[in-house]
Amino acid sequence: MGVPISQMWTVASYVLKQKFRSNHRYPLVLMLEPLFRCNLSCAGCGKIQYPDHILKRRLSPDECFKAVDECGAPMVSIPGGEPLLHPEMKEIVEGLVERKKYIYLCTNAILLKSKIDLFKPSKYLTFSVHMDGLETEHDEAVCREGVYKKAIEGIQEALKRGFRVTTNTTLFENAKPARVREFFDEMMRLGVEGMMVSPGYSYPKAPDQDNFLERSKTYALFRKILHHGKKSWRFNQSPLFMEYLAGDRHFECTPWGNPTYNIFGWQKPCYLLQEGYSASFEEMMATTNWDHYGQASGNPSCANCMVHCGHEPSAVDYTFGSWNGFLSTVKATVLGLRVSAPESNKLPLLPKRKRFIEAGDDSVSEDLKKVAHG
Amino acid sequence: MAETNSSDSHKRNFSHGVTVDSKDADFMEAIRAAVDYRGDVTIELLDQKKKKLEGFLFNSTEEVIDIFPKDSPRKESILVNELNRIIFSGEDQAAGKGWDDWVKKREQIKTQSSRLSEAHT
Ligand code: SF4
Ligand code: SF4
Repeated sequence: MGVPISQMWTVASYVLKQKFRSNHRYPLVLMLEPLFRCNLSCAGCGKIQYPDHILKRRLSPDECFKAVDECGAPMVSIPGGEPLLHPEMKEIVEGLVERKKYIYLCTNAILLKSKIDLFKPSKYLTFSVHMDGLETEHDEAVCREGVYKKAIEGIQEALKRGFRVTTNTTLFENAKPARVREFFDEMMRLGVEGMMVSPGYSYPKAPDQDNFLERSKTYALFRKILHHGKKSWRFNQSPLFMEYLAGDRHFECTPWGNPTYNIFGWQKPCYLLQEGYSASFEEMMATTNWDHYGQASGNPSCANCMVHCGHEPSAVDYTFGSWNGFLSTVKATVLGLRVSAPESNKLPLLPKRKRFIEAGDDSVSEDLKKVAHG
Repeated sequence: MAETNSSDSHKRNFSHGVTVDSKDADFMEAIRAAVDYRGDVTIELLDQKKKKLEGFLFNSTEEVIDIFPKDSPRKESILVNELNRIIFSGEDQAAGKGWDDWVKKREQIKTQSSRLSEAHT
């Protein structure tokens, strides 16, 4: 696996500390969105469709530091918009490195080469480059030709200068497993530290109990990609989360694991849904009705969701919360990821979904349909 | 064109140009829709002396709404019972950019390119 020992140690000791304190709901990765403006306009991205005066607003470095200190998570992911468009990104990164936070600066890398002088290599800073596949697939997903080549140039420059670089890939139903496997080979050839993958977020207007079909599609896709995965592939994410994607185990969502802060405040309940904002992290944690989220809640908005931001913290919690989880993680790390064959009938046992009752909430939030990835 | 009449028999589509009066039965629903709406709204207050406000409404409870006014860096919180009307005045920036639209667009591109390659062979 591609995560360095020092980072693993920081995360492990942080999670164990929460366990000893019997803190069951703790943040693991803060999703810090300092602006929504982007230099791309990927079809299906729900993060950038705002009026111009909203796109011009951004969090100041001090607002970012206050959020990071309030939240206390050991890792900070900086998505957007495009963070490299933020004129004070240098200061923000420096302040977070000073706080010893492991930063994932998520970028489409168009500006990476030209802005790289602003940053110093550090074990705390990783450029997490948005790559949705090989050239054809990536340029199609981002709706612009030439972006793949530009991103590769950015990655090569960052690697040459000694930066940590990972890739983050969102896969949709139309992904071709053989092409994704080729893409993994290509990223490894480039020399990135590790890759992150997550299924995209697609929501039918009114999903019903048939949603399991949607999950089965995700399982089938990831089995085809990951079965007999190559030893050379390195992933910068929990192996148990990948087993979850391939339907070899089940995790319920822990949305508090990846809290989101942006110009509107602390977003309830997760990175994808926008069901209100709180002025403080504490208030967001205390006033969100967590029972309303995750597939078992019966909430139609969560029925098909298997994205990393809700479920990877669950996998990490399982690793450090039980011997079984710990041993499974060690096994997958040492022996490599082993997922069921695509033709296998094995399916995880899902908790029964509750009937979701909330006045006036019988349809999927409009935001869900807007958000594909971001 | 502004649409001002609400009807109990069918749900209104709160889209660009719609005006909702605080006396309308679906006023609270309109506020929730305005939070989801990816365009600016105009808020008219009951107090005629206060100006009306145009901006991006991003948060609401039963009692308060939070809005980023178009021409100010600071957010404003306004009591719901001080509102007179809400107008979906700004263009919806997400219109035509949803998931379904994307899927349709991708399919169109694929059909076009396969037609082109067929034509070349
Ligand atoms: S299941 Fe998905 S949409 Fe629902 S709360 Fe979790 S991350 Fe958010
Ligand atoms: S997906 Fe990322 S790169 Fe694409 S428009 Fe959205 S924020 Fe920008």
